[in-house]
Amino acid sequence: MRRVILVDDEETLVWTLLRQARSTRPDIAFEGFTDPLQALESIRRRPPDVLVTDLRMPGVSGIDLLVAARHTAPNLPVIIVSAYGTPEVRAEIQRNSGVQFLEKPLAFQALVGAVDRALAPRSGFSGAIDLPLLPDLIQIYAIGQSTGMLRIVRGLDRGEIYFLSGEITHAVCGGLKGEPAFHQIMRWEGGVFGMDNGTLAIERTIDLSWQELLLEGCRLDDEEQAARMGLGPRAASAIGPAPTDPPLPVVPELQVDALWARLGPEIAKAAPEAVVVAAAIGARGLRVLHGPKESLAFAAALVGIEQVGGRLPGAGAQGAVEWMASDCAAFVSWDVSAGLLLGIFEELSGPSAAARFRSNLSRFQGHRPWLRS
Amino acid sequence: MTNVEDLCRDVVTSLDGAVAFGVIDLASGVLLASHQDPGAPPVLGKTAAAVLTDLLRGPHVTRLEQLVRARRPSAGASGPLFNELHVTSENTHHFSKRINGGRAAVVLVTRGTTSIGMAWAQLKSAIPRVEAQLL
Repeated sequence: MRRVILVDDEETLVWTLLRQARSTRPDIAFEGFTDPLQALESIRRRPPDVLVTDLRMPGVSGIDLLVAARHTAPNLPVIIVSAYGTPEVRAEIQRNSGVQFLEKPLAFQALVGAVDRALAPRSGFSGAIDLPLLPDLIQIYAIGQSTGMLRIVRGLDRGEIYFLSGEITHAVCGGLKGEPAFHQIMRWEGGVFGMDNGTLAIERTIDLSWQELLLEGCRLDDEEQAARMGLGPRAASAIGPAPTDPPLPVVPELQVDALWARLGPEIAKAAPEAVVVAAAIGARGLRVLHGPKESLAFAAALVGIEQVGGRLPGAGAQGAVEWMASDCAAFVSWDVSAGLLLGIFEELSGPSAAARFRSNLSRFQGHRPWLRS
Repeated sequence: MTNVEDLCRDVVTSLDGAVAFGVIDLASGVLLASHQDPGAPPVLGKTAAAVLTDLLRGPHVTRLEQLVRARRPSAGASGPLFNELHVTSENTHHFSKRINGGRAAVVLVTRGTTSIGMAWAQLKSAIPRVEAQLL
């Protein structure tokens, strides 16, 4: 039976939620804790399928619990409950971190819905879901309106990111300060974290919002990825319109997310064996929504937009490129007006597999009614 | 090249929705022969030939082929990996396939409404005749 752990320092709330959950969802084993340390002990003994935790608790915060729990179970789906955060902020967290966000006062149905989403299989895609822990932390500390210094240590390297009521005001890393230091820290793929609550920065070196900082981090990350793959910088920065093309339209991010939420299962069905990368196209670059960046699907997507964007008649705003070999196929499709780019790579076991790949993916080419419906 | 141009015309006139057909020298990116439906806007000129050449043998796709080879030992050690290309733009399809040992490519441009399967079949059926002329 699947197991969900609820953690909140409000004993009445935990009791009420458990009572409702156990009577309406007997198929799930719900366990409640008012002490985060006891919850952590239980997680370490046997990781649950989902962790639901309050953000602000005395002693150990929901963020501390999230960090500690993810050390034990790196892919553990987490639902954060808090009285803070706007819908935009909530969407930002969901999109980038694999962490869901629920606002207080908590509606039971909303909690059950979030648990069901967290328990749902990942649409059958192959490849890893991106769960960047550091961006998770940054966003959650920002939303929690935290004040303090986030310490990140990786081997002999040490970084510090300072928060003031949720704003990032200063960062230090080696000899770097400000934004360069922040982005240097964000490149680290592992390390040990700790938050010194209440510690203030001695100076202010960052004025960008945390959302802008993270988006810029994504852009830099894409550029680095493109460089590692030996591709041009243009591939990673925006969709590559010709210099005379009009500026890229700004598509609301929530709209792109909604489109991908609708398309993801369709694509999983059309190309069940393929590695799929989906990215939102923004004026500042690509933001990966799904799929591994270290993949041939992502490389194909970068090559496609690098080479075709704006050069073939009508191909600047939307288009698709498919390369076929005898035993594999790479595919990239983009629509700037919808703000979405797809990269797909599939191994093909034989001629019939090639025909099936073509047939299944043909619906994502041409007029692509999936964008218009 | 008169005979090849006749072949190009045959392909365009025998497929519903075909707009242009041509043969590109992949060493230079030059359009060796082509025919375009006179009633349609130009879609297969020097620029399109250069872009398609880039997509088949340019540095970026070569890099992609290297990445594929690095991750898939089953792929051959050398030579082009991707032999077929399909580019979809807002109103057209460009279908291309390497011929003549990879030294050239045939290109078929159709309207967006044309059946993709029919277009590939038409392009592939023309290849033996084009190769015979190029030899």
